[in-house]
Amino acid sequence: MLVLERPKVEYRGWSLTIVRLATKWGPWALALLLRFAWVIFFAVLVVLTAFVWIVGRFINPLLPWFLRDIVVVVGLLAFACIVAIIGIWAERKVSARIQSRLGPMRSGAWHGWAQSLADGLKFVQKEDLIPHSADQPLFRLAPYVTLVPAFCAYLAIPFGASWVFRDSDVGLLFVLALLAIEVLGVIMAGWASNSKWSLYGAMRAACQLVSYEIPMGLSLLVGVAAVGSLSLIDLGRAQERGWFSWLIFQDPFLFVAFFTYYIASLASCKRSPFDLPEGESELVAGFHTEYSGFRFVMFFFAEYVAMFAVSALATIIFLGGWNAPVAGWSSPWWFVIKSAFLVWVQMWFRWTLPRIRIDQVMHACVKYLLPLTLLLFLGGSAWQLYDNPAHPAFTVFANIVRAVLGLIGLGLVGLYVFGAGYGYYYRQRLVGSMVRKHLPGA
Amino acid sequence: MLEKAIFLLFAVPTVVAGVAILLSKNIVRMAFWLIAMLIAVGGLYFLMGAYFLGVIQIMVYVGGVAVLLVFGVMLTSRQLAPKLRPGPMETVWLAAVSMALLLGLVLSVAQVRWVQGPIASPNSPAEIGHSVMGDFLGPFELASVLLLVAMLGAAYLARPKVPVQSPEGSKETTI
Repeated sequence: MLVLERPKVEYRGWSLTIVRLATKWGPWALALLLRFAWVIFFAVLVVLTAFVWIVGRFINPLLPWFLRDIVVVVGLLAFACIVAIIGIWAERKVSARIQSRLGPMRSGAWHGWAQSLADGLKFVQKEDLIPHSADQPLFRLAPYVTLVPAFCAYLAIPFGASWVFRDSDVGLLFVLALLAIEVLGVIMAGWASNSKWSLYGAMRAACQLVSYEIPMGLSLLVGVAAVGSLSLIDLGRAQERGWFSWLIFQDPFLFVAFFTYYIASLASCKRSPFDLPEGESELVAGFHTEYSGFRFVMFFFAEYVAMFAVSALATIIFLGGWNAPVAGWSSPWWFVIKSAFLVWVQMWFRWTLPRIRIDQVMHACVKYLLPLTLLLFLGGSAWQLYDNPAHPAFTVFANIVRAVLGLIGLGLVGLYVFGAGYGYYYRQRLVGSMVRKHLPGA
Repeated sequence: MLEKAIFLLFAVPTVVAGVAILLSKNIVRMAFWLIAMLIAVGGLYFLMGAYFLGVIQIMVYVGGVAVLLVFGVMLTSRQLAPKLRPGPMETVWLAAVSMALLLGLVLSVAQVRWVQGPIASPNSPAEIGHSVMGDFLGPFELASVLLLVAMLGAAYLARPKVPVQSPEGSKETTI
């Protein structure tokens, strides 16, 4: 039949040749790779180890240090990628569950866990479109400017007391500065696309992100003033003595500062209800309207990587970082679990709250959040003046306040666990299990 | 050797971006070149061990000033750019002023006897805070007053020339 006849396309250039070879031999290679995955993994490990040892022993005593840095940076990159991949899958599952759907179920064996990988493969194959009237170099550069700073922020984030790539006296400022560079990539993308949707998205992003940086920094400063250090390691170490020593429960100003920081961080990650820069209902897709293929994926990755980074900051500064609720059980897992929980709450917000208008976004920042955080900063500083051995009466009062705040926190966690459990039970009683047996992922 | 290589890694982009600001015709490109230069200068601070200064450089200049600059530039129309050409008389004046400034800069760099030594406490924001609130309190306060004046001026320029009439006599005006 004429319709089914494949058009004769003359392949030109290396990329198309690679795609053709990959489509021809890819399945075989993949099958072989998976069959001998463990062997290959161990072989690579052995070869790497031997390489590092030989270089370190014979070539240059400086080089192993350099290689170790490279290994750690690659590990952090891999972690950030995994965060983005799991985050994108989780976003779809969370949105589906909140809307009584199932979400991706077919890719992979369990609840569509491989959906992000499949999407990634699809995006790699897509054509890399650049609008004719776009500013070419800036258009090409923008995704990198968005993604690379978000990755670089992980260089200063400690995962545990000794699990940090570089501990610096200004670690907190370093992370904030890198997250500020990210804004630039968004503006660059919006301007270079030469499309009105993109330009509107970029302008909204610029005014929103620059405004919300101030309450975000001020809320963090309340925590910094309570500990007296900008080093993230010091901030984490100050909260080693269990639940009641976490900074969020140290004084009422810190308790409120956590929530103001969280709201401001939602805006700085362009998450709903502040996702005006990419408001789908008005601006098609906002600043990344004109992007396709892997460049679009880079914007998507940057969003999830930044979400985890701001949640990690909230965890370290307010929620005890890598310290367990019980003293002495600290582990990097606690850090990852708490940050992942905060990321999950961000998703939960996105699918629960409606998007607000741009003027409401600015009003919320300038009229309410900014004065509130200024007051919190003043109050937190004043609290530090009186909460010391020189004022014994105030110290007693402060300890009572701490206990009450800690109990409120326990109550909130209990309420959440009860609510989620009861909701699950209630749904099971109403409709039974959502996952049907005939679905392949079930 | 390694330090010199990393120095070149930051110094060359600084110079290239600085020249590119002057040579580029598009005003938004200029802004992005300026940002590249500011980031490279921040890298030089990091190389010198002044982490606080480098971080503040990126945070204030790249995250704040440059973003607002690009934001302002994006709001101006693209047809405005060709009108910004200086006239022949202005060119002479501009050349004279720039040459004088350049001469002053080069002379001052050449005259100063540079001391090469480790920074006293390179890694402590507390030291910087003490010196700002102690020895340099006067200049610090002066700078903050200047910023306040600039902010008041901006608010004055941006205020509506005609009082805004709210529709249907509602109390609060929403834009």
